[in-house]
Amino acid sequence: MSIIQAYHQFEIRFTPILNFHILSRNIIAPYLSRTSSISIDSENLVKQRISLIFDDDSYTITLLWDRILFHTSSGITNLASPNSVVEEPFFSIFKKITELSEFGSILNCLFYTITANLKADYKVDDFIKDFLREDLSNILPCTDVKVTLNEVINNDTIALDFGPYIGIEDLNNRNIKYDPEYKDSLTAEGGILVDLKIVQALNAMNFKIYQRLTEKSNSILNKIWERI
Amino acid sequence: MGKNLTDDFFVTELENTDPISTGTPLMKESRPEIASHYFYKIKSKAFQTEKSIKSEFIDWHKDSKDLNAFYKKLFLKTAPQPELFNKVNEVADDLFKSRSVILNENWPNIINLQSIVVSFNKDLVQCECLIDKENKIFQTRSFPSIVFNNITNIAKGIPVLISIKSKPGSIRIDVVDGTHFVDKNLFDSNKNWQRLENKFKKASIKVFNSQDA
Repeated sequence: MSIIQAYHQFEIRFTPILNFHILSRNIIAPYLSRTSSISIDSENLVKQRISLIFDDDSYTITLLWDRILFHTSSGITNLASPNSVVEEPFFSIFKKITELSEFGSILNCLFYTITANLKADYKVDDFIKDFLREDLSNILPCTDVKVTLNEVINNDTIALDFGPYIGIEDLNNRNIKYDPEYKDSLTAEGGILVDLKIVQALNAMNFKIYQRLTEKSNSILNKIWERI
Repeated sequence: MGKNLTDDFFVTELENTDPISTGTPLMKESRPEIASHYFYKIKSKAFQTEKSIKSEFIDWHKDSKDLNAFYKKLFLKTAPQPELFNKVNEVADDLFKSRSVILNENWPNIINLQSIVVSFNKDLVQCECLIDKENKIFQTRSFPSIVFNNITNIAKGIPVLISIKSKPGSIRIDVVDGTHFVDKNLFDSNKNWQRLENKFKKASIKVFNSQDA
């Protein structure tokens, strides 16, 4: 059994900054020496998108006029630890954005992970036995199944989708650019794939909140793993 | 003895099963100190001409009767032998076995430390590192001075960003100028705290001493 975080995205959304495509240059410039590459879409337009790619695609920080994103497929394990790449440089760049006089307010954040718990002999029937009723095939003899759970409290949402892992198509269908190092492990069928989105409304954001969201995500995942 | 054989050429690393590498009686008797030295020094390189190598053997070998056989065994067949360069001598101690090149290396553990240089000499640079920003934990750590060679005008008090990447068996340290990345205010507040702490300690000692008296 091996657990691979195939994709992780953390997004902070704020009120749009109309001239962010101009202001962002001063913020981003010092970081270019640390990036391995940079990509710019819709250059000089209001909805300009700049992606800073660090450590040969290890992780990417993307800036838009209304959000900043951190995303990775490289399996970095210590994202919630002090001084991780989420704290520095992601939160450092975010802090510089909040210090702009044009900055309005933070709206919410998105914590998104796609995690595969790979287990070669764990198939669709095993999943149905552990999470659903075994007579499900009486409704429809199914070759694939998914469980969707949603929790909505005020403006906070947790959307959880999980089901048996049928192979690399599960990731390709989601347009996930997984780390090639895990390709051999991810190719084989067997196990569970979990797609978890946590959206939390807030008006202040710091690394501690990110750590709490990580704990929450791990707690939900562990409840699923305990059943198999 | 003339010039060192291994200075002029490299041959393959020989397999342990090759009788030459384990040391034939001839080699051991004639030049015992060379035998062990020779086999461990040998690495693979572009193949030298047979003639030049042969002449070196003549110089070195006291008993040249079996030179041709010895030479033939060493290179197995006629040159060049690409497979010779691919053989790896599995010595018992492979501590210094060379590492293959890794492209787009994956580091599961990455930390970026905001730091200030505290002191330095030709071997080590000591930095005050912010270990935990939330809990304001600082730590003084030493690093080899060579990783700071890219920092121009290194001096006490300059900010640096130290990126430490690690995985089982490997660690990588990158140091960049921290002018745009280090929040010096955090270190100032730590300095103030340390000053307060020292004053408190001195005051405590005074009180303790006066009580003692």
